[in-house]
Amino acid sequence: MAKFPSHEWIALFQEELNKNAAYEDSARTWEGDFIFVVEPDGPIASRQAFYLDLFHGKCREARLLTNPEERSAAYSYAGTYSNWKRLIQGELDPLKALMGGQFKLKGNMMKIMRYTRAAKELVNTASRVPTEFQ
Amino acid sequence: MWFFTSPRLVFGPGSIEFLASLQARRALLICDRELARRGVPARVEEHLRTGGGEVRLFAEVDPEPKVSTVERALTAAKEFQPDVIVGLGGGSTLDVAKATYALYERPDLGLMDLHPLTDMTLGQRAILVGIPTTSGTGSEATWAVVLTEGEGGRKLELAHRELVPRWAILDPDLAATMPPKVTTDTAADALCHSVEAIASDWSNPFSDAYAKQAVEILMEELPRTTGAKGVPSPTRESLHYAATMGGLAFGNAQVGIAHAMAHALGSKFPVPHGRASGLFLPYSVEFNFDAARERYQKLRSALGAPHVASGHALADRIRTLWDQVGMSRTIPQALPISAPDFEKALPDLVSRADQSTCVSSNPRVPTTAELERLFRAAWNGTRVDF
Ligand SMILES: [Fe+2]
Repeated sequence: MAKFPSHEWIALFQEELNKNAAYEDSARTWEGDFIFVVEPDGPIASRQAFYLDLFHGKCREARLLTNPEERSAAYSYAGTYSNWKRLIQGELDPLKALMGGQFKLKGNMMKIMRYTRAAKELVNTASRVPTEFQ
Repeated sequence: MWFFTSPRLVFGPGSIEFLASLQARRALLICDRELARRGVPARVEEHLRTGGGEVRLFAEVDPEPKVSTVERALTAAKEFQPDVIVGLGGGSTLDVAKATYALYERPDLGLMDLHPLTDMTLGQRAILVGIPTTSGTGSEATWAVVLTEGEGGRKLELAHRELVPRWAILDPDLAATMPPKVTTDTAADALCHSVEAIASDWSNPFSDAYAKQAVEILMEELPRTTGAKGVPSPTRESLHYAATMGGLAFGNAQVGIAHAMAHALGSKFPVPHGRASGLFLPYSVEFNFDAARERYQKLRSALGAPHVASGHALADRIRTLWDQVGMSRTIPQALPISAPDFEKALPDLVSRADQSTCVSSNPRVPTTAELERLFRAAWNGTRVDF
């Protein structure tokens, strides 16, 4: 069990993602890093961010940033803590959540639209991480 | 949180006369070459001119329209400065009209910006009217635009809520200009939209209502299109409305892998879109059924309980309909390509289907290996048992 968001959680996520054959298949040609931003609300008082280096179906690096502005990436996917919780619990679809405005995505849209299956697998993986919400 | 988006619908025989009430000052009428050859645009122009307005015809849309067609239509729009843009034709023409309208309204944007996350409000310079002359694509009612990047290129799947036309005019008299094979192909597409919308992960009570109604009408009316005397008027009218209902269903709930596969096949080979989506539908139903059993049960009243008891039963019900109306059941029936050509194209077909936006809302997301098996099943005409 790992608290979300935390160093332990992102480490477990990376481990799960690298075991996920469906993700590997769907993202086998993907190259691009991500920042997942957790905006404060509910029990979370400050902005937090994860950095993920996703390359050819694998996650080469994943860590909680000490300072959310510490680095940039090709894409950022941002939502409030409550919406991250709903996403991880499978109550939100990652793409519908973008269209409904619960999440914001920055980066090259046309490229990412060809990898919607990979996006779905990323979220499915997150819901497999034994997560404790605060 | 989700949305239901719809154009304002005007329907009924002769309903194109509604165009006069728009009082267009300058109307750009976008249609395809074939329709122009048959003199159909003149019937529409007449009503647009009633209010004293000027009409310019852009009749350069071909099947499987390319990005370059939109560029030419946009040049015409920029020169003419219309306050009404009318798309008259099948899905290809309506898609060109929708993309042209968006870029005319927002010259700072490019085609690649026409995705759901772009912040844009249209309707400042012109209004968009969609008038379908086929009964199937539902494009007059949806937010989607499909264009081809270039000869043999990928399909660009563009979408934005603002691309839904302000008005859709459903005049069944215009559909009477369709050749019989086009009637079948486009109706097959409408059935595919409706069944895929029911099964979609994004389905919702509003899209379900239209999808169920469309399936019921299509199942009942399609077999009546094959008589020696041609399509009876009431059937023509019902099919025309059912197609828009199918559009409202999938436009608000997404399509699935039958469309991902159809877009891939259509990008590699010259096959009418509806023939491709229709042929893949039974295979996709067999593949999806266990993952969306409850959703398919919503078709019980339209089809009868035995036909929604299993994936094979539902697929066979569709195959029976396809046989009744002369629809293709396999890839070789749909287009004349050799087995070696198919094998050569297969890796591309799989990769293009895999990267389609239609895949992720499908109730069962296929791996690339499963997509390959699905294409092979559709080539051989075998059941999907995996
Ligand atoms: Fe379609």
